[in-house]
Amino acid sequence: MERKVCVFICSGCGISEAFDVSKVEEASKEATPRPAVVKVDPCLCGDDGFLAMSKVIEEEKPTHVVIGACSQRLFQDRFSWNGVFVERVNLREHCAWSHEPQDVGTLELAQDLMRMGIAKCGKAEMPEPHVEEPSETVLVIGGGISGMTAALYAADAGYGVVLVEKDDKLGGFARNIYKTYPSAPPYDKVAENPVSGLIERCETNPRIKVLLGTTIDEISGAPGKFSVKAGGKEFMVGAIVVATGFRPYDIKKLTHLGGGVLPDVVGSDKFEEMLMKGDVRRPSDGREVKKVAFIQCAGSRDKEHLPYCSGTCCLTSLKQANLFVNSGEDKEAYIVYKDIRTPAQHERFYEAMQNDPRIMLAEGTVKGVMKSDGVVRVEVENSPTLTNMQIDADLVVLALGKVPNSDGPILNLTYRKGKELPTLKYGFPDSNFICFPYETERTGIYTCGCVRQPMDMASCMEDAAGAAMKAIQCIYATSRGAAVHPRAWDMSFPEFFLQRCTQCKRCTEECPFGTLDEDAKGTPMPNPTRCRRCGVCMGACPERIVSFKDYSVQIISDMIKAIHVPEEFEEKPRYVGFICENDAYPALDLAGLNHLKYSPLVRFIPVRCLGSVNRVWIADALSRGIDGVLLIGCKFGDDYQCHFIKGSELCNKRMENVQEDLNRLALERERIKLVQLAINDYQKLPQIVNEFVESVNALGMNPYKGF
Amino acid sequence: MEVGMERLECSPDVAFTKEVIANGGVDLKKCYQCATCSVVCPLAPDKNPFPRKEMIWGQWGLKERILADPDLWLCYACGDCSVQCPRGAKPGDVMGALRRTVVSYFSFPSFLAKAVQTQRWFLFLLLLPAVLFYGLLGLGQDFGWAEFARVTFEDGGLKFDRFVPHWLIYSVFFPASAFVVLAFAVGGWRMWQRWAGNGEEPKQAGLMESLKDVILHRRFDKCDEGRWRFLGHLGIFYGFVFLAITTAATIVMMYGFGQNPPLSFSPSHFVDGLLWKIIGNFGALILIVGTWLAIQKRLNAKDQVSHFCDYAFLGVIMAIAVTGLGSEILRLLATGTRSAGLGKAAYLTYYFHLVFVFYLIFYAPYSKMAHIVYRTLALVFARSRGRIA
Repeated sequence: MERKVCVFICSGCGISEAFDVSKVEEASKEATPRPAVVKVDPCLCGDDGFLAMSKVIEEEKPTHVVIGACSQRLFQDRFSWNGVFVERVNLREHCAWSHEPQDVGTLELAQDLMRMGIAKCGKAEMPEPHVEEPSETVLVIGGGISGMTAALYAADAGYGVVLVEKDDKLGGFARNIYKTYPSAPPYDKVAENPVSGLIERCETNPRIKVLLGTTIDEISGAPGKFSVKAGGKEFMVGAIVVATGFRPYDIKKLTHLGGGVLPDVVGSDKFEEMLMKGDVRRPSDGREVKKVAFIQCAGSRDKEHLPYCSGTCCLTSLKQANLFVNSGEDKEAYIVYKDIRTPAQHERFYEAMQNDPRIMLAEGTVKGVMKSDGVVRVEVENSPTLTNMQIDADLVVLALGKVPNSDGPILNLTYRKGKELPTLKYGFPDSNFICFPYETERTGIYTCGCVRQPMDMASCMEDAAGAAMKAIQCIYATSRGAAVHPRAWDMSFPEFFLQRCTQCKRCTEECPFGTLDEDAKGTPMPNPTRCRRCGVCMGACPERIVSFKDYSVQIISDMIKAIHVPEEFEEKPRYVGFICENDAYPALDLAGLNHLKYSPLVRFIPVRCLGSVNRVWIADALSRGIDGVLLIGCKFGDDYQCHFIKGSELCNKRMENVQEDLNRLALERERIKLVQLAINDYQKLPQIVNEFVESVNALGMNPYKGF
Repeated sequence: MEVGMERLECSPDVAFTKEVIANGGVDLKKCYQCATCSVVCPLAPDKNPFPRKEMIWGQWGLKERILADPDLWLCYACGDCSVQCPRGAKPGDVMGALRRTVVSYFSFPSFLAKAVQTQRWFLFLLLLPAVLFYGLLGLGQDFGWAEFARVTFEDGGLKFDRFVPHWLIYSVFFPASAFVVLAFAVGGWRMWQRWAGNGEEPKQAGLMESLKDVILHRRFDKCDEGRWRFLGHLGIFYGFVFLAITTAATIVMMYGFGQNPPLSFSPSHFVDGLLWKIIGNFGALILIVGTWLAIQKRLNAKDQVSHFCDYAFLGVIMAIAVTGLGSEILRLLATGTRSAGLGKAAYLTYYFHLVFVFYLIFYAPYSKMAHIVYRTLALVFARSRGRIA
């Protein structure tokens, strides 16, 4: 189809005060293929401006529209016309609001930004979605509180559920819990365990198929069409919820607290069983227990054992202490803790339990637990007020932390990148803890409950609802051919020009989501519904054979080439900045919104992720006389903020290889800089940009100008 | 090792905790050991400050540590901590409850302490001197109830020693006072021994500075909350001091100069009469005002838990002041009018006055009054060990 581009420039919101809009209009006309339609309006987002623009589009029937106005993050719904590719050029936040008005640099920036936007339309096309008819069944793995709740939520929403439980009964860990601490007002009394009700509802729900005593043999396929082999059956599911829960930390590893050494030192799980039986006796001699000492954080928040807080042990011990002291005459409970952590309303429970004179609490470090004359002696030290106290108890309970049941075999995926979910540092399978709960590094597979994060029953149930909704969202998005997360609106997907593939395996290796499988030769086998559209494969490919309809190596190269690079003798340096759309772009918007001023010499190009930056763009830019390249992406490392997990980190690694290109061009290393930026660090942007510009200016002009 | 942080083997004792709660520390268990109380306390020493540690010792029923803790008495119960406590644990009131508990443990005989601190025994204990005096006043025909029946106005008007002869007062109050001194000596000795139990040697003498604290209310004055409480205590303290001066002067007049009380109100007898009358009556007035302030403070305090002992103590003081002043006024009125009815009223008021005075003095080692000895001792102890400057 014939390409036709219409260009609209908004002069409102201070844009016309910042530069001469007619000169930008002129530059746009020059850049636009004939017959050029370039319109200027004082307020494109207003009803008059929008109707006028729509009318032009209706009459001219363009394939592409370039709108030079505010940030692309605004008016996405309004500035959209069926079948028309819309490119947004940020003349407001990234130009008019963040540079000196009427400065020639500001005008030149605006002209370049328009040229780049128009150039993008040279190759970019409206994506056509890859649609597959998905299975409308959710597979839930794990029949505990979380798994059963997820199953019920998915079933209630009208989806079929297959609930797989390895045990021969539903209930999971919760089946061994006698009573729970409260999760409803007034939060001050021990409550009934909800597990039996959930079991009954799952067993009687016609949409839920429960497979007991079953584990997963194999899962292949992709979101929408996972093929599952389990318990001798084979079936299709659209999405998967993993709710495999936790196990208490191994008490035998806590020898310093008498764990596994003294018979009268038991874990909180064992103590719960005793309470459930209604008969708390010393395992060593069967004597009735009158005094119980609880040791909190037993192996938790401890570098040698579990470095994290499991979040529920304090409340569990308070609950157990309550149940215990009320189980007979003259019973006493002692709780020694690092900090009592009873978040939110649970403070009420803490207060209520604390008010019982038979339950005694103190901060302190346990120095040792030893056997002493028919009792177990707990030596406490470093207590601010109970220094060197000794507590003699009949039984010692170690409040054990939670270890996620994430160490397979659980899923047995046939993915090229491994059978199980990748985990973060403490063994929790998660993809980005803060921003995207439930989301794992495998699209369409969601975790909830204690396998994802230590939590209590009430939180597990809430979490399960979230994961069930994500699974449903995945099935729905897949049915439309849209990305699930985080580019939830995106219909594009990567296409591989396989004739030129050299089987280097970089794309299959570097995709953080295991999207690409490989054939025997190492040729990538795409699974579009697993893809998150980050473009890491595109950035990885040395042959540049990976491209999206609206985002490719060629498209960005064209944008770079559209930048007007003044001759060396004009002494006007030019820079290209690749900015991550997820954090750096909105951060630049915020800087503009706050009217922070920075050098107008940098032409920012939004990228889906720094991981999609292909080395060739940098070579292209430098060989065309661009003086330097600035890359701004998300934080990487253990506490990464990259929306695609490894994108910015991969980019950083690849930049080390760019050294070769620089050597070939005989250019300085300092001309390329990668900066990690969080969205709330927008105040730092002027300093980042200015320092980069000044440091490269000091190197002198790029000698390739004018070639 | 610091005072209060000595290595002690002790075990949790829930019975002791319950005792402290019953003694007025009702919110003891609410404490979650944030130490706000110790931070805001204007009197707590920098090292091992109170009352946080006392709060947790109380919660765990660590009786041995509480009993060996002189810091209990360094607190003046101003209530700064109770006002600032984020949990409403009212450390100020808990400290009071702990003091009460400690007094009951150390005092001799301890059953008497238990009785004095128990509400249902209050009337019985008050009835004791009432019956005692009632009986003694019926022993002869030339005094007591016989005099009450006839009311003599000869020889300078109504005289109380016709109703209650001096020998009768002496025969009751001398043994009672001796007993009180003994009880305080035993209690103070036991307490001091326990404080000194950690073997820390005295660094300096502390008596003179501690007496200055008491007389000038220096430490009391550091408390932020309850300015009125400070003034109330000042009134009660100096009320008693002035009354004691007048009593001493009267004894000197009686046995040194052969005067027969009551002393004269005449300006011509200034040094041997009027001066002491003025001091005594002023003392009674500030005692009434001070006690009134203290009662008001308690009634209006929302952040404070008042134990029965608090009101019993203030009530008895008020009763002493009112019956004392009342019997004086009634005596003067009766003398002026020669009215037998007023004479009887004066005698009866005086009778009650003696009953209340007996209550205050005889039960002093067990009531709130005990702080007069134990707090002073604690100040001396803490100063001698360098705990306070």
